[in-house]
Amino acid sequence: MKRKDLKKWLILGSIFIALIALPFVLSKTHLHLLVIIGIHAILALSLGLVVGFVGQLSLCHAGFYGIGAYISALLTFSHWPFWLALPAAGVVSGVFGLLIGLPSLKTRGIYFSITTLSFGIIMAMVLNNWISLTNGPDGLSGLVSPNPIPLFGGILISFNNPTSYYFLVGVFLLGTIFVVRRLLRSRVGRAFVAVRGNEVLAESLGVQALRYKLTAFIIAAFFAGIAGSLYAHYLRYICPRDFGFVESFDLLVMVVVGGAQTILGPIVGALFVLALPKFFGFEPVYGRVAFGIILIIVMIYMPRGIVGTLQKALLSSRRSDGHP
Amino acid sequence: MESSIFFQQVINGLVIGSIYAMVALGLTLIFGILHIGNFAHGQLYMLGAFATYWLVTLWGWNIWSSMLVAMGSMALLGIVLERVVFRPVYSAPHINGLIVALGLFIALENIALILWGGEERTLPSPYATKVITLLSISLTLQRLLVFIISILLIFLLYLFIQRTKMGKAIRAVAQDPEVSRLMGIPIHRISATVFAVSSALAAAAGALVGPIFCVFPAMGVTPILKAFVVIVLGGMGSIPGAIFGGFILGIAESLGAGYLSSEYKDAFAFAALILVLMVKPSGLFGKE
Repeated sequence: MKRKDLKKWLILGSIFIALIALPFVLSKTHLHLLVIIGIHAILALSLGLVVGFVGQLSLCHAGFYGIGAYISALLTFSHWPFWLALPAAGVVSGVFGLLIGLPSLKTRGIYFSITTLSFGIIMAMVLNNWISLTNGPDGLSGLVSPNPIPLFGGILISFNNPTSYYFLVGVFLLGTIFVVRRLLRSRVGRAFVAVRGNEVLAESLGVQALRYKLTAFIIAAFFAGIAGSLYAHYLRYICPRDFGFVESFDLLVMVVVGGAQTILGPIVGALFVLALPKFFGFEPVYGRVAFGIILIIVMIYMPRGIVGTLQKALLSSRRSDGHP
Repeated sequence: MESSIFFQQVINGLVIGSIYAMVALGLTLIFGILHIGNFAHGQLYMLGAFATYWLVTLWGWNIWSSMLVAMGSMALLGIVLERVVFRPVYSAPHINGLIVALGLFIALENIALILWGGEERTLPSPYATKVITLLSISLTLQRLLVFIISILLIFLLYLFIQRTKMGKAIRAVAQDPEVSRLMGIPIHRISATVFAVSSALAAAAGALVGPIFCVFPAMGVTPILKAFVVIVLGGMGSIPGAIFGGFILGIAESLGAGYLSSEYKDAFAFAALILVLMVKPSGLFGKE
């Protein structure tokens, strides 16, 4: 038992050290990709809460992401510091999560998916057409980088380069993982799984399904808003195209292909979806074709997603070794 | 004069609505059998339009024979896709089917982009420039033909579903796949047939609008999204729901664009859907 724990911590520790060392060995383009993957990992992880753990196939996550990005951009334009605009973006997205979740979650199955898809399309359309506020399809440019943090001895950490942003996103990703883990191990998390398994049965045991579904939906929207703020002040340019329904589809793909119902799955999914086309990198169109086909192959041969299937394989191989 | 604008918009709405109805009908049939939200269905509409376009422009075929060949080849493609892509995920959770459909959606659109580029082409049609005026309402002959032919095709499909043995089997599988299988209905043949018929219908819709709108790789996106709205409004799996839903949506959009705002024209469908589902979570014609 003790030895197994030691092994686990050794593995986690070496991964952690590798992740810290990574920005000092990678090229700028790769580091940039990693920052984008990190932001999408936060998005996918939060969507995974809704899709994987309460079993609701939401198709408007990119809308919350967009709201977060625009709120944060507009607040910093009226001279809010980034460190206040970021939580504000999360809270506003969370409020939209409540407003959209409440009517949507009364529908079920594909009805829920198409309702959220509609909300997502309308959100993107508003960003596109409310020109006085959002500058329409041209988007908002000239966003500020996060304000530097003063460290002991008058040293400043500034966030205008991929290296420091990598660590910033990393901290938020770890925070998201921590919150999601804690949540799933709490009473609320067990209620989530009960609702996913059998809503009627859960209700009969006194679990108010709608309340828990809504809780998951709002928390997911909150994290999407945070991710939006991180994205906006990293690229320092946002436009409605980044937050349309195609983005929502991609996020869903990350969750399911990585492995819904696991925490690691959506993170692996984000890595897979964003890094894969780069391997076919000659031209984005070819990357998309390969991506579509690989998606089909993964779903046919790994129906639980990459992480889910590997976990199962690992479990059964351990069993056959005689170590339950 | 007000009323003539109104009728003009209604006529336009009927034309668009017939396209929505044709795409939605295939989508609802597939959903009824497989319970998969087939996002890739719009790409068969796009490929059908391209097939017709190339037969007309490269080989100089007549537009009707081109359309028939396009329908036939898309029916074949539909059968292949059902066999190769969808059948392996039948027993998996429905979400896997949705992801597979999304993968197909992405792959087919980008294959079209690689093959033919992103530019918008117009399918040449001898009927596109002939204008008919009737009681101060004017429309091109092409639009009139879109309406007539789609009504005809929808009617034929309706007869097929209601009057033939195969149609009866399709309805049985939609109602209860387990019992149907026990009764000796070949489920795989039924789903292949449904894919073939649905794909042919989508191809016809694409070929018909080619001369009015444009032919380009992303042309299937808006119709498939609207078709989803239609079948949800009409109740998933409901055939009359898809037909009437398509026409109602077409007219509502056309009137909305004329009287309210053309910027948000595409938002009406989605807003209407949300409003309806808030009142009746199972759609207008859906059973609870």
